[in-house]
Amino acid sequence: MRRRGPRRGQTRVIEALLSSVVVVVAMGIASGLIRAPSSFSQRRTDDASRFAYSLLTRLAEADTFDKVMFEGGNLSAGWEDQLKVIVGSMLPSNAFFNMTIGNCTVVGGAPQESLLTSRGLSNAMTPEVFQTALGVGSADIVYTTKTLWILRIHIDLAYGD
Amino acid sequence: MRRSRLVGSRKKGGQILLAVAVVISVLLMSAAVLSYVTSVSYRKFSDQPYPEVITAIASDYGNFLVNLLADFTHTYNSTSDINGARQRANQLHSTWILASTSAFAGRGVVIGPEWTSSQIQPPKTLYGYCYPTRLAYNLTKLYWYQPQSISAVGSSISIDMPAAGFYGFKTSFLALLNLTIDVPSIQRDQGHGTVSFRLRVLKEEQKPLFDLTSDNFQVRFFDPTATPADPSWRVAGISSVEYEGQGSYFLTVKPVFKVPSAAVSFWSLHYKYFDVIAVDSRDILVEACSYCGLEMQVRDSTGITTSPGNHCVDYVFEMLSNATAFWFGRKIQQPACPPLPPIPGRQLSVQVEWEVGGTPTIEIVVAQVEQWEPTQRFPSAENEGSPSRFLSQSRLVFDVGYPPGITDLVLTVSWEPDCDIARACDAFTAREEGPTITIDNGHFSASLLNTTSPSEWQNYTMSVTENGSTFEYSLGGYDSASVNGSLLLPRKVPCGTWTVIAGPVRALAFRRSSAVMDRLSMTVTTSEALHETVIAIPMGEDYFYWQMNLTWKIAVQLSNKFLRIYSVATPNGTDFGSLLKSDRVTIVNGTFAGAAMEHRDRRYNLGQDFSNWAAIYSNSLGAALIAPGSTLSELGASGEAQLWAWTSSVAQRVFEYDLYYFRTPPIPFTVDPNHRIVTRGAGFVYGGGLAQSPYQNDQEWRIYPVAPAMHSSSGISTPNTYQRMFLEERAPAILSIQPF
Repeated sequence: MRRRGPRRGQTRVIEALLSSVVVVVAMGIASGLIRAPSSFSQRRTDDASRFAYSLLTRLAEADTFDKVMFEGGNLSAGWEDQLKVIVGSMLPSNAFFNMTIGNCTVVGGAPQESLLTSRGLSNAMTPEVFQTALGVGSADIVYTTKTLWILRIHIDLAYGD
Repeated sequence: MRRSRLVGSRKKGGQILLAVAVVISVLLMSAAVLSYVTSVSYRKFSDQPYPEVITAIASDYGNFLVNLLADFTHTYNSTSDINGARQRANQLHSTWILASTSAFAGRGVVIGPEWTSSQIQPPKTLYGYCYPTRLAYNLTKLYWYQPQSISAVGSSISIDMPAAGFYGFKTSFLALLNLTIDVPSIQRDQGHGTVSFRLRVLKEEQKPLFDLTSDNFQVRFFDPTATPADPSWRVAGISSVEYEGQGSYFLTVKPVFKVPSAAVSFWSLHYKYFDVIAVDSRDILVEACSYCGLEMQVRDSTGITTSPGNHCVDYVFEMLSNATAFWFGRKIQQPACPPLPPIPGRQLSVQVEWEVGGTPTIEIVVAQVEQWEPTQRFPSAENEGSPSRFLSQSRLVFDVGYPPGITDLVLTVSWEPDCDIARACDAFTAREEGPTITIDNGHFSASLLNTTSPSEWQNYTMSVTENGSTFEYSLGGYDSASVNGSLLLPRKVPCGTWTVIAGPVRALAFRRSSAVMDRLSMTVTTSEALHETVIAIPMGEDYFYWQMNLTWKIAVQLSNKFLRIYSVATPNGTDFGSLLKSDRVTIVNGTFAGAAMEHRDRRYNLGQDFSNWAAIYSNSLGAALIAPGSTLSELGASGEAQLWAWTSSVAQRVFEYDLYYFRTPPIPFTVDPNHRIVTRGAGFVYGGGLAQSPYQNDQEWRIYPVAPAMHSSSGISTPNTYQRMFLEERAPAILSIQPF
C-alpha cells in the first residue's frame, strides 16, 4: 500500500508536465502564426507600386509623354533617351526603374500592342537589381496622346539599400 | 471508503488538468489560425494599389475624351463629314476601352463606358435668336455656325474589380468649348480698314479661357470683289487680341479683298457678317457665325395660283454663295444682301411660310447642294465627292411651292447649328441600262442616250415615258440628207456621254462634248462643234428644263441650211397639236391626221408667227415645248426660224423650233464659227385634251383634205398656263432680304 503513494505523486507530476508541455507548444505555434509574415518586405513592395503609379500619373498629367515622344504627330528622334533622363531624375538615387511603352490598336476587333521602346528604358545596370532589391513594385497606366495614340506604359521600380 | 473516494478524485483531477490544457491549446491554435488567415487576407488586398489603378484609368479617360473632342472637331472642320468624323471618334473610343481593359487585365479590371445625355445649355434668347436646349449626347456633340457655338464631349465610365470584390466606381466627364460672338459689338473702321468685335470663350463649368492669342482665332469675311475663280471668303489678318477678363476678348481684324478699292459694299453691308474659328489650348475647335440666316419675301408673278382652277406653282430655286438666286438658269431680281456663310452645305436649311386667313403655315423645304464650275455656267464633275463647304462654286438648290391663292412667300435660309442634322430625303436614282441612263422623278421616267456608238444610236436626246406613252425630245442638230427617198432630219446630231447628279430636289444631267453623230455615214466627228448641255429634272414635277450652248469649232459646210434647236416627237395616236402665236394671245389648234404631211410648213412661218409654247397631245396625254424669250430672240435673229409641225416616216408627230427652217431642195450653207448659239427651254408632259371643230381660219393651220381643222381645244389650258413659269418677264422676284 505504501508503494502506491509515490507512484500516484509521480503520475500527477507527469500529467502536470504534459499539460505544461501541451500549453507551451500551443502557445509557441500560435505566437509563430500570429506574427505577420514578412511584414517589412511587404510594406516596401506596396510603397514601390504606389510610388510607381504616382510617378506615371505625374508624367501623364504634365503631358510629358506627348511632349517628349512626339513631334508633328510622329515619334521624335531620341525620345527614349530623353524620357529615361526625365524619369531617372524623378527617382531617388537608390531606386531603379525599367519602363516599357506600347502602342495599343485594335485590329479585327482584337486589341494589339506594338512595343515602341526598342529596348526597355532603364537606369539599372543589370537585371539582377530587381531580384535583389529590398522592395519591388510595378505600375501600368494607359495614356492617350493629343494625336490619339493610346499608349500602355508599364514601369518596374526597385529600391536598393 | 474515504480513501478510495480520495484516490478516485485525485485521478479525475489529473484528467481534468489534461483536458483543460488540451482545450486551451485548441483555443490558442484556433485564435492563431484565424489571426493568420485575417492577416493574409488583408495583405493580399492591400498588396494591390487599387486607388491608383482606378485613378489612372479615370484620369486618362478624361484626357482621352478631351483629345477625342479635339480630333473630332478638327476632322469635321476639315472634311465637313460629320458621319465620317463620328465613325472615327467611335472607333477611337472603342480602341481606348479595349486597350485599357487589355492593359489592366492582369489586375482584373472591368471598364464599362456609358454614353450619357446631359444638358449643356438651357433654352435662351441671344441677340434676338432663340436657342433651344442644347444637350451633349452621342459622345461628341457640335452646335456650330451661330453666334453662340459649342463643341462638347460627355460620357461616363464605370470600373469594377471582381477579383478583389470591388464594384461600383463610376464617374462622369464633360468637356466643352463655348464661343460667343458679341454681335452688337461689331464695329467697322473703314479708314483703317478694320473690323472690331468682342468674343467670349468659356470651357466647362463656365470657366473662362484666358490664354488665347491671335494664333487661336481665325476670322473669315466675304469678299464682294472676288472674281468667280477666286475664293469668295478670305481669312482676315488679326491686328490685335485684347483679353478683357472673364473669357472675353476684343479682336480687331483687317479683312482682305481682291480689289480693296472696289470693296464699297463690304463697308456698307458685308462687314457685319463673318465666320470665326477658335481653337483652345486643348486643341478643341469651335466655329461660329455672326448671323443665323436670311429671311426673304418672294413673289410669284405668273398669276397662276390666283387663276381659276386651283393651280399650284413649284419652282426650283438655286442660290449661290453670294446669295444670288436663280430660277430656270436666270438670275432673280433681288436686293443686296449678305452672303451664305462658308459652312458645310448640308447645314443650310430652307423653310417657307405663308398665311391663309391670318393662319401661318410653315414647311421645311427639301434642299440639295451642287458644285458648279467657277464660272457658275456648267456643273462640276466633282459633285460625286464627299461633303464640302458651301463656297463660291456651290449652289443651294431647293423646291419652293406656291399653294393655290398664294403669291407671296416668306423664304428662310438658315444655318442648322446641330452638326448631326440628317435630312431624310428620297433622292433620285439614276440607273444605266444599256446605252441609256434612266432617271425616274416620280412623275415620269426620262432616258438619256448615253453613247457615241453608232450601233446603239437612237434618234433622241432624252425620251420621257409616262403612263406607257413615250415622247422623244431632241436637243440640237443640223444639216439634212436624203437616203433612198427618206430624209435624215437632222443629219448631224450632238451626242456624248452624260454625267448625272441625282439629289432629292432634282437630277442634273450634263455633258460637254465635241462628239457629233453623222447619221448618213454613221460615224462620229469631233471637229465641227463643241456642245454643252445641262438638263434639270425636278423631283415629283411634270416638267424638265435645259440649256444648250453650241460653239462652232470651224466654219462647217452644211449640205442643207437646216438647224434644229429643240423638238419633241410623239407616238402615233397623239393627233392634236396647238401653238401660241407671236401675239401671245392667239392659239392655233390643228390635227395630225396622216403620215408624211406637213401640217404647218415654212410658208406660214416666214413671218415667224409662233411664240413661247407648242404642244402635241391626245385626249389622255400630251407633251409641250416651252421656249422662253431668250430662245425666241435667238431664233428671231436668224430671220429664218420656224416652229415646224410634221409627221415622220414612222408616223411620229413632231413639233420643233428650228433656227434655220428645212429647205427643199437643199441649199448649201457655211456656218459662222463666231456665232455661238445659246438656247434654253423646257418641256413637260400633261394630261392632253381634245381639239374640236369647227375650225375658223384655215390660214393658221395647213389644211389637208382629210385633216379637219380645229376651233377649240381642252388641251391648251395646261401649256398656256404653265408656260408663264418660264418667261423672263414673269420670273419670281425677291422683294426683300433680312438677315437675322
